[in-house]
Amino acid sequence: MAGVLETERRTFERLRADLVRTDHGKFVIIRGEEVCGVFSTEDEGLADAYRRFGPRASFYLRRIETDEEEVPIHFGIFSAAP
Amino acid sequence: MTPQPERAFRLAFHGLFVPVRFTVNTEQEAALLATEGRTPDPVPLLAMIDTGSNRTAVPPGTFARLGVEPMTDDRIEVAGGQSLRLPAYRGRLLFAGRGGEVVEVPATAVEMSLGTRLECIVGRDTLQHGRLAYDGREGVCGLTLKGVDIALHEPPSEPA
Repeated sequence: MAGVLETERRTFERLRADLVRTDHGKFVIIRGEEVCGVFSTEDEGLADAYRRFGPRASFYLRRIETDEEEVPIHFGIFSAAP
Repeated sequence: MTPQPERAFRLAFHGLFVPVRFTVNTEQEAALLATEGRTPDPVPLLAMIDTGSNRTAVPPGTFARLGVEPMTDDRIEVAGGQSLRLPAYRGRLLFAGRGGEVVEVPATAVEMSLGTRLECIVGRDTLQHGRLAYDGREGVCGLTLKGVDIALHEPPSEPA
């Protein structure tokens, strides 16, 4: 799955500092290199994206937070450290 | 509401499993119904309840079975201190209540191969919507989500 949403992820990383400063805690929708909108909730972002781009559109939804705030995945059975 | 013990079996032997169905999020379902007149069939999975996990994992190919694409990604830290980003999709887990009810819980899932004996993980992102009771001494457990007692998976017969 390498490369899926890669352009959008890079766009987010490029804009992250500005987004954190203006819309921390909200959700952003990105397509390609374009920010399509910032929303208070994930559900609002999803509804807007499907309405504007269609039910099978590809887009990137991301919570606006700093890298340090991002909680990584932990799968207990795999991530237990000795 | 305290979950009522549902099953009495050797939890330490079998682990705790629950049948679930993974499906599209509510917003996409509404958009699909409005434009295509139908929605994809939910994907049935047998999930292990894992309080050590903070996310939901579904088997590779699940998104394709639903006809959807990842819409976000999630960071996972691997051996050596490195991290990877896994594509993820914000969908819903559907649980069957013991009285036939269907309980929906939003879940952002990553696709991940978990081996031959495990296909899905339900973690604390889902458990935060309910209560899990575990009595290891009695070998009983119960799961309540949104006030509904959930039907757990009955394990296979134990070896003699």
